[in-house]
Amino acid sequence: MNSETATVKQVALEKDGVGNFSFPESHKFDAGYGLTKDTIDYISKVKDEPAWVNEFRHKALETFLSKPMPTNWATKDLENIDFDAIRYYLSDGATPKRSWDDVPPEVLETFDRLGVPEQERAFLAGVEAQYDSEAAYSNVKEALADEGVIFVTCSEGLKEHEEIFRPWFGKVIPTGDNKFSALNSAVMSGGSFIYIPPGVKVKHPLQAYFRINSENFGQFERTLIIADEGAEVMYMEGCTAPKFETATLHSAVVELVAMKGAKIQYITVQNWSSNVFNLVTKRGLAHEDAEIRWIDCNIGSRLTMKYPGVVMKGERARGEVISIALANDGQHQDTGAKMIHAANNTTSNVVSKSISVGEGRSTYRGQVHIPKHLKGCKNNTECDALLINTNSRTDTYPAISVKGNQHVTQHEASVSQVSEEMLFYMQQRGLSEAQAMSLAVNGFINDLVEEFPMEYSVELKRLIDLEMEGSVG
Amino acid sequence: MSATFASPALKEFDGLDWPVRTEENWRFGSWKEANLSGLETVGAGTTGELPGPLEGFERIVFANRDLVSGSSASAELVDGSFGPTSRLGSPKLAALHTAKSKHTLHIRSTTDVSLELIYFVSGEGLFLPGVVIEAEAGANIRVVKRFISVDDSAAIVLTATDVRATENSKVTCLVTQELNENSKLIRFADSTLQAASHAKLAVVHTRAKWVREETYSTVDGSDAKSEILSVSLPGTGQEYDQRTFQHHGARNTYSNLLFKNTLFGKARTIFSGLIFVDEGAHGTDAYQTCRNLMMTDECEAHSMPGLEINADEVKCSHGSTCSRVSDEEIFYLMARGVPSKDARSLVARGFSVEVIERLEDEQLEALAMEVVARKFATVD
Amino acid sequence: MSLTIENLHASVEGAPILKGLNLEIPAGEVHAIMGPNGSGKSTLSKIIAGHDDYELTDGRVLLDGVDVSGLEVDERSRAGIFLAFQYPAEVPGVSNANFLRAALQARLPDGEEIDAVAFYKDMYAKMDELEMNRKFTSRAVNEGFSGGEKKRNEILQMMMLDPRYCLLDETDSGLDIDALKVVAKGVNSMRSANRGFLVITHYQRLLDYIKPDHVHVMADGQIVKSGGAELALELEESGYDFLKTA
Repeated sequence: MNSETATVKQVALEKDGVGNFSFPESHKFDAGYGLTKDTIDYISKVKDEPAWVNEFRHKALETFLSKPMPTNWATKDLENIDFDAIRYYLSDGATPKRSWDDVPPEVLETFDRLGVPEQERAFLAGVEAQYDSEAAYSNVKEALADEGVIFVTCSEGLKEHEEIFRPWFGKVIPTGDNKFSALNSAVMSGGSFIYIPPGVKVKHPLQAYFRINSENFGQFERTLIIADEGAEVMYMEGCTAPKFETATLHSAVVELVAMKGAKIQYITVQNWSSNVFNLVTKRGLAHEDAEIRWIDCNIGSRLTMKYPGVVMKGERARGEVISIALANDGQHQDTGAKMIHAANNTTSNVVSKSISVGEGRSTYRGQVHIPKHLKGCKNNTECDALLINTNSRTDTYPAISVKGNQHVTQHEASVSQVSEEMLFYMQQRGLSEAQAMSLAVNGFINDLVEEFPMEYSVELKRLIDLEMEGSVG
Repeated sequence: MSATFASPALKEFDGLDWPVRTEENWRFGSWKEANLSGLETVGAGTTGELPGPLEGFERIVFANRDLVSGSSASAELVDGSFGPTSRLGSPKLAALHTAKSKHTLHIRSTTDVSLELIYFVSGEGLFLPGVVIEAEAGANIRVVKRFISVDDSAAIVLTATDVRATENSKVTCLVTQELNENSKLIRFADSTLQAASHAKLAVVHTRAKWVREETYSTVDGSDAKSEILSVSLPGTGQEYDQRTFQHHGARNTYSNLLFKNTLFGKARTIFSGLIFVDEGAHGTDAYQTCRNLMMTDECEAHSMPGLEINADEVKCSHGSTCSRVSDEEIFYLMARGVPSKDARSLVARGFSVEVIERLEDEQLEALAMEVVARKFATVD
Repeated sequence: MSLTIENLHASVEGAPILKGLNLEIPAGEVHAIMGPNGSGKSTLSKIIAGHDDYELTDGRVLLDGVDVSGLEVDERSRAGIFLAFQYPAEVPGVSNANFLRAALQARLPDGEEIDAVAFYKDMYAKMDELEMNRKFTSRAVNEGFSGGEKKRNEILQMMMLDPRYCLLDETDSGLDIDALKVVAKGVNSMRSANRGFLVITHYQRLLDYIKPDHVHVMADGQIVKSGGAELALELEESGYDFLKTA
């Protein structure tokens, strides 16, 4: 078993109910309910932040409060988020431990049950494990540290590596991009800062694991990954929370910067429990000859709104979004991709496959923008939806804007379902209805699963099978 | 304004707002062009040169609102508007039609009917024609509608058509517009299909400076088939904004939309199409394709194909592409002695032909090709 | 040992299709059913396989003495019934090899796994017999297959799954003479004392290659005439008119 398999195994364990546990809260630092200027100052104080960060947060708070909820195009379910009933900061102190021995017992046990320390010992290059608002643990293997690879928490990044951090921070995703990027900018805590020096190709993935332990809590991690010229890195993220009665909010911001010739692959397997509102802004900036690839799998949460994007700023840059979404009863996966071409001969590719089960609803929203005076850009988008039951829903809303005749774009979408005929055929060969359904669904996502690292695919299929169980009939 | 009491229609009109930038239905569109406040209706019209007759078609000619010649046993001119609804972003414009349209041509039949309607448009102002086509069981109705400008005045044609195809009927409707470069065309094209009916609605856009078209097709009975076709050839100074909605409300229905835009000069097109399948509309087969052929470096195409599926056992797909005339095709033609400019034109014409061939009616196809050829003759 | 259909009455959406059908197919024999369109012969095979569109209103289906009328489609399959479809479904994204493996795996007790090496060896041998290109193993089940390729694929599956009773539903439809010979060869290679066949066909031609032991004529949901192989030839000559006078 390697790292990729491990991530999914962990997440699969969650599905088995292994993740559905929590420890009584015992936070040293608690900002209380609701969001005000005082909340901001509290956070800055606990983290001992420089003045510029505190100012940044305050400006962001203003922006957040002034923006309306985007319900003119997004689901009205957003109105069910009660911002006053959320606690924006809970932690035991801002410094993450470098050794699992130093991590508080319940935190250690949490991650132990989820398999995190074990994997890290075995094969990951680095791990950060965040527990509510702060990272309880963060470490990168010595060999990499020697090469100049930085993998620390965001707080550490902005304090200790300001000269690398600050120039790019908030540039890929400006505070005012949308209401939730503003919220994140105001109360961000946790998340990673990664810097890969020129020419360094990190062979093993860096991994982050996010865990919500407390009720009525919002998690707002902020990640910034900078791959310098010719560098390569793969980053994996998995997230879970126990099933609480009340809704929780996860509003993250992830900014990626790939300098000339660099490559960043960002893999997410999202499996939040069904009470979480998961509203994430993710965007990458690809310079000349650089490549940014988002590989996204969304299985959990009550509502996920996530449109990974790539701004192709340099010639021959490449952006890609590969997405698998599964929406079960009570879930709405509203995902998509944003490809902004800003240089000649750039290419973007979007492949999105969604499965709607029971009364689940999956939505695809895409934007492809190719402006005037560019030459040789290409986009290919394919989004397919599979409906499993009579009450499942799927929507597709892409927007493709092209100027000039120097480009080629293609968008195709289709909706289909596992037909009665197909099921009867497979059952007649001896497969039970559930087995037949599972085979058909795996066939549907087969091409995409093969895009994930190899051993990953087996576990991913298992994860989807688990989710499908009980949905048939 | 004369001193009369405002009609309920006018009151409704007053109560609505003109489109604004933030409306989803006007995304990428020129919402300002839809603001028609202060405009008066056109005066009496003049006739232009009549095009050659269409064999087998009864011809009715209008010069603005006035009926100039022709009649048909299957068509009756009725006072007032039939009251179109806009569900795709222009309620105020629909209300304007309801309030100010002078008459509606009501076409109705249980047998074969072929009608050609020629609307000569002249002078400045608003012109609001309306047509209702009611096909009853056994009917096979063909209607050709041609808008032709007689002068260079800035006219605004706000036209509404309602096609009602009852069980086992067939309707084929081809609309062409050759309005001058100062005029605007706003078109509401609604159709409702009952069981086992077949409607084929096609439009060819070659002129006018701005077109806003909202096509709403409802397939309400099993085994009904709705085909929506469009060929657009805008050039510099022209913008075509087409919004469509394929609504499936019954089991085992079929719809197929094919729009092809060839953009010249600095042309601009916007296409937004939604396939909407109701809960319970199982067995729906729905397709939507929008292809954009970009002829120059400066044209602009926006496409928003969409799907909202709430039922089972459906086969739905949509596709949208943007491309330019392929170098291989040009090379092939040039290698056969065709000069480069003509080669591009040939390929571009071929691009539109696929849509025209879907009319499956020789006369209508010939007419459409004629209109397209006239446009190509003016384009560089 | 036989597949016995006893006084079977079945309807679909309230409309009766089978009106008291009686048929016994002993292991080791090949029975053919012919009949005009609308006789119910195609639905018969689906009903025996257990398709839930059809409601059994009376009678039962016995497999080697065991009543299987209440069993699910997959349970009947694992009990030994194989249906070669007239119009085999496509299963996108699932390779032929994986599909067969899954079907075979479903027949093994919990914990036992298919031996991959033996599986592939067996499958290739049978594909060679059926003159099927080995590349088909990695293609998705029936996706983009021609009519002939689909029918051959059905016979391949039948050979791999080793059923007790095989129902061939218009297996010859859409096949040219060469494909027909290959398919017949495959079927004939499986004839044995332990296996029974029910061949449903519209045309006598198939029966030149798969010689039946008994031929039955079905009309209006029942068997109306039974006889030996020569009955098929009679029908070919005189058609189904005799049914009208009966």
